[in-house]
Amino acid sequence: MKGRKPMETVWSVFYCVCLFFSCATTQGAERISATEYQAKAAFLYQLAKFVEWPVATFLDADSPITIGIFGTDPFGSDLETVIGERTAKRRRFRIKRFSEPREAKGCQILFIPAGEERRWNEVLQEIAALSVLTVGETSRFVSAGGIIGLIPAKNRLSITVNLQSAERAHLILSSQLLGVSKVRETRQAGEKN
Amino acid sequence: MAIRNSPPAGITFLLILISLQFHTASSQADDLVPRQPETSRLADLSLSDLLQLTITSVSKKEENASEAPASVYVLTQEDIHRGGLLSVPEALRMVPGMDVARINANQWAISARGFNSRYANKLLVLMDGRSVYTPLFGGVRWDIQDPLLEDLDRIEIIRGPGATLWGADAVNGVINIISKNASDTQGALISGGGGSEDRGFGAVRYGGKINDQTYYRVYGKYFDTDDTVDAAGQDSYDAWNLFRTGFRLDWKPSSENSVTLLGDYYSGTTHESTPTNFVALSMLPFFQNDLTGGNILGRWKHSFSDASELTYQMYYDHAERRSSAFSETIDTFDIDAHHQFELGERNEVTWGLGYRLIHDDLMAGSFSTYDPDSADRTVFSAFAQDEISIVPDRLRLSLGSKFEHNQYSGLEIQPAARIAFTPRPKHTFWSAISRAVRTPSRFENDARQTILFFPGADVSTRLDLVYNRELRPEELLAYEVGYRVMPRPDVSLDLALFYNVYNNLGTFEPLPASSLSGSRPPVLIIPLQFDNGMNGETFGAEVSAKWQITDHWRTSAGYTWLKMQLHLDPSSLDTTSELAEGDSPQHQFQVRSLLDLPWNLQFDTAVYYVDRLARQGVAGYTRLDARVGWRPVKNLDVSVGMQNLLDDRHSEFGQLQGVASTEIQRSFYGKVTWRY
Repeated sequence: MKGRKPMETVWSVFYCVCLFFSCATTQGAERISATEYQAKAAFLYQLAKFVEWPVATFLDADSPITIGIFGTDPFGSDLETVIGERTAKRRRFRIKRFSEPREAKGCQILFIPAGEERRWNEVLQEIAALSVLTVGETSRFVSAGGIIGLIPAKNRLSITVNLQSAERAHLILSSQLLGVSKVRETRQAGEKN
Repeated sequence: MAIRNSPPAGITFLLILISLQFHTASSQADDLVPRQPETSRLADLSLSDLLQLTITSVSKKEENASEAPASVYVLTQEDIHRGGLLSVPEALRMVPGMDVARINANQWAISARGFNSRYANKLLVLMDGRSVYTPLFGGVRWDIQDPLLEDLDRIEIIRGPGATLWGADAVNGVINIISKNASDTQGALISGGGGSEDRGFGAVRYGGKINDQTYYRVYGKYFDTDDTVDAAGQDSYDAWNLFRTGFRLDWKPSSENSVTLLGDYYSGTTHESTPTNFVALSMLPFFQNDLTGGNILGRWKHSFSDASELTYQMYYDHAERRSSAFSETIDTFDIDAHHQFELGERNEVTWGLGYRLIHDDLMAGSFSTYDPDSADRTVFSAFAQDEISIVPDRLRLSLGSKFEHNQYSGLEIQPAARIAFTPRPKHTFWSAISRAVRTPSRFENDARQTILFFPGADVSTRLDLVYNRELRPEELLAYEVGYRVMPRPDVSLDLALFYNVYNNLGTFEPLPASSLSGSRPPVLIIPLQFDNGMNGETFGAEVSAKWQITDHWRTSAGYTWLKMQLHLDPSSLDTTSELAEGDSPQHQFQVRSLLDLPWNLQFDTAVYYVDRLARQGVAGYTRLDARVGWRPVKNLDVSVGMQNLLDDRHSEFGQLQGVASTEIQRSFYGKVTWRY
């Protein structure tokens, strides 16, 4: 009944599409897409720009910003790929992976993967008096005294900040950062630490 | 395990594959695969750009799925691409717990948790929010579901009832086929190829940008599938071709609003043959179905705040199917609105309203009639659900119900309670109790169909299916528990157990026989009326695991065990329905491997084992698929796919319900995709 009609339609559409190509510009600019940890790596880099550490935190003007990854590393090589040779506040980055809480001391930024949160209290004790920007992945982490949570919401990441914890670490967060963040407070249970 | 006709070539090939995998896995460790260049540019995005960045990762979606209190499995674009399967029904083989049996070149029987058949009616399938569950018999016409696979974002599969959100017919599962946002398919794509069974296929897509807020794409595709063969190796009459064209437009005028408009049109043919024991004098053994149709869908999302979002969706769908045996035209108009908002700190409420109008024109063929042959039906629905976080991040309870009114069985209430306990991140225990119904179809309510005819010298006998306007819906009460864990970032495990109790399952009850007057020889008519004379239980376990062994080698595995126990009511005189226990495999097993090799090569393999179908005399089979992909330059993908490597041919489903089943052959294809 319909015979070879589909084939004719194929060609007419193909023709239209070809026509379209020749008219349309060749701008096929692809949007950047990222996996969760590529995005988190980019966030770690950007966060460094919006945080003021006390002057005494760094040994000298050339000391790098050390990003510590505690326990099992979910980034793979993403952190190195994303940050590359970039600098923030004229400082290069150094990435340190470790699994003993006491090794947390030398970091300026410390990432606690969600899978390692049960050991968070041990880490927090080690760095209680230090200016370490702690970054986690859940709102529970932020409520338990962490400073920043990079939390997936639908298919994006959101930032949650605990200002009490930042203050205790003597870190100053820029208003630009706070402008795009949700604010959460330490819960009573976390307070005891 | 029954490996039939395993030729030496197949085994040799398998050995080569295995040795190759071990060899490359060990030499891969220090091989640096070039990263996507844009990855390093991520760090240059501003904070607010980063917050807008859509995360495309597998792990993200799985993570969402990993906290859901249901059996959710996500086939990502990469799974679909690397599975090497060329259509949506075939791609569903990769989902642990799904039962996919290819009946012939253009027909599939697809179900989850039992009750599989060509007219499997307990699985709801949605294509970008549009239901493709046909109201005629309550199932899916797989021969017209062929989106451009490259434009799919993902396929989400929920095993178990989803009626609280999706309404009647989401009894044993829901499949959501979701296409990419137009902004993610910018540029041109041209692909084409051919092979031994998939004789020829080609697609063209172009995605462009109107302004910073508006992106679009248009595409066209065509394929032509060869006849399969019957048990004797002779060609059957089941070839299939389909042309489809469509578009999608995404407009985001502001951060609070987004609008999506999409549509498509298709036209094609399938060949169908009636099994010989079905052929009545008046029936044609061979006929061609002409398929045409199209649809258009619009969706508007508006967010009042971070915590409140309203979605309106409207679609119109037109489907025609004509053959010498029968012809049908179905028009569906559907409008749906739902609103999601946070109530206080702990409640996330979703509620919605829906309306659907279905108009059909059914032209009686020689062996079936509808009374009336044209009808309008409406379905009204409302639902509400509250997700309560009892202990934040740890214990969530979700309560909800759908209230749906249809003209055949009246008001249906389908509630569910689900609970998820996350003692530690990446460990989730969940449990659910839910009710779902499968409402009577137009066929069951209004049709009369001759299914068998035995000509005789003195008297001929005819078996007729007869409608029942008093038919009640089939009911399910489902109990589920599950556990999901990611013990390490590279390993994930998923376990689900279910116990389903069904009531009012469909049966065929004989009515008093009558004889057709005035014919010679006289015809004795035995009417079988649709009824609800059966109940039953099914239970089973579904386990799946994923393991990323190295950066370059990912594997996954799944095992499904299913037991069905059906019981006829004492008053029932049905003789066949209980046998449906033997239509679904008791054991299914699969292993998949995705391996990245040096020189931009990919080598992907999958093994599927499906147990025998007791009722149908279909032997268990093991199927091996392989794919080699090569990307010589960034814009070009070349791949070769090989399917059913282990045997010349095998049958996956038996001869039931008036369609000739055939044997699925070993097949090969080559494909080239170019994008810029």
